Amino acid sequence: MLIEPIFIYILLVTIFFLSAVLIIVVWTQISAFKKFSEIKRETEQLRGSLIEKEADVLCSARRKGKQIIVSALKKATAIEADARVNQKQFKKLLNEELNRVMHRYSLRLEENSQKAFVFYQKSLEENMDKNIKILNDNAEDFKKALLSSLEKEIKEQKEEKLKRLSEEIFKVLQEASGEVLNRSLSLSNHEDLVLEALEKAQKSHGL
Amino acid sequence: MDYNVFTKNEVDLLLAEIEDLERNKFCPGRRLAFSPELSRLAQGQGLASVKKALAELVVLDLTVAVKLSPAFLAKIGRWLREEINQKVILDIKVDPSIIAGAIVSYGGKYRDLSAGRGLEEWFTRESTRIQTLINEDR
Repeated sequence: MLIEPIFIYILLVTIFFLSAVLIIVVWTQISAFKKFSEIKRETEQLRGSLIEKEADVLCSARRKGKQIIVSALKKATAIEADARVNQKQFKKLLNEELNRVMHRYSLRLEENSQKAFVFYQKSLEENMDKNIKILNDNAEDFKKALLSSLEKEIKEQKEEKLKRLSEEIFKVLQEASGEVLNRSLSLSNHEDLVLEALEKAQKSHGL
Repeated sequence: MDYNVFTKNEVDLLLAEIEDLERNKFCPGRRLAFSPELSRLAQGQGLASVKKALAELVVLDLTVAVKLSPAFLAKIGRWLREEINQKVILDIKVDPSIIAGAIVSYGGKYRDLSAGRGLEEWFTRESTRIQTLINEDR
């Protein structure tokens, strides 16, 4: 078989073109890989530096915190000691002041109570004298009024009891009369009285 | 009919006897004998007529102070039948508080003719004088 020379030529050109393209692709990939490797290395370096910085920051923060706590504890101890001292002093001062005030007031109270006692004694004596006088004046009137009232009350009670007694005697008398009358009558008397009652009833048109 | 019964109690007894006789009329071991009074009343007429006549009797209530004798009750019963009504019978009640005399109630009329009432009236009338006497005695 015979191949046209034009085809051979086209084949050669195509092969050449494809080889050129392949070379370009390979070179591009190689250069891209190089760039990637470089970026990766830079990233690793950056991460390492960041970790170091972070560790430094933490370390310094811990140190500073420790310093703050230590200083705060020292201050607190100092304040507590001061407070104890102040409390003792305050207590002492308070006691002294209280004692002073109490002493002052007790003196004043004693003075006032003495005055009041004198005044009260005087007023009581005056009142007692006055009351004794009034009582003496009124005693006689009261005695008279009481006697009069008692006499009236006794009289009323006496009258009431006598009235009640009279009523009771009256009642007893009435009952006793009836009973005596009943017993004093014989059966024959009773029968006569019954007959008499019937006759009376018949005569007065009661039947 | 000649009734020889004068009190409600006697009439009640006779009526009870008639009831008893009528109830046992057909019983084999029935009562045959009447009381003498019922026998007398039933002579010549049936029990039904006696029963009817007894039921027609009129009651006069008489309250007395003591229990009266049957003879006296018969006496006043007869007297009442002559003077007031042929069919009257007595319903006697004994109440010692009336002392003596009687309280009569008949045909819707009431008369208190007892000594108790008389005594009470006398005491009411004479109460002032009695009270004065009581007080004088004291």
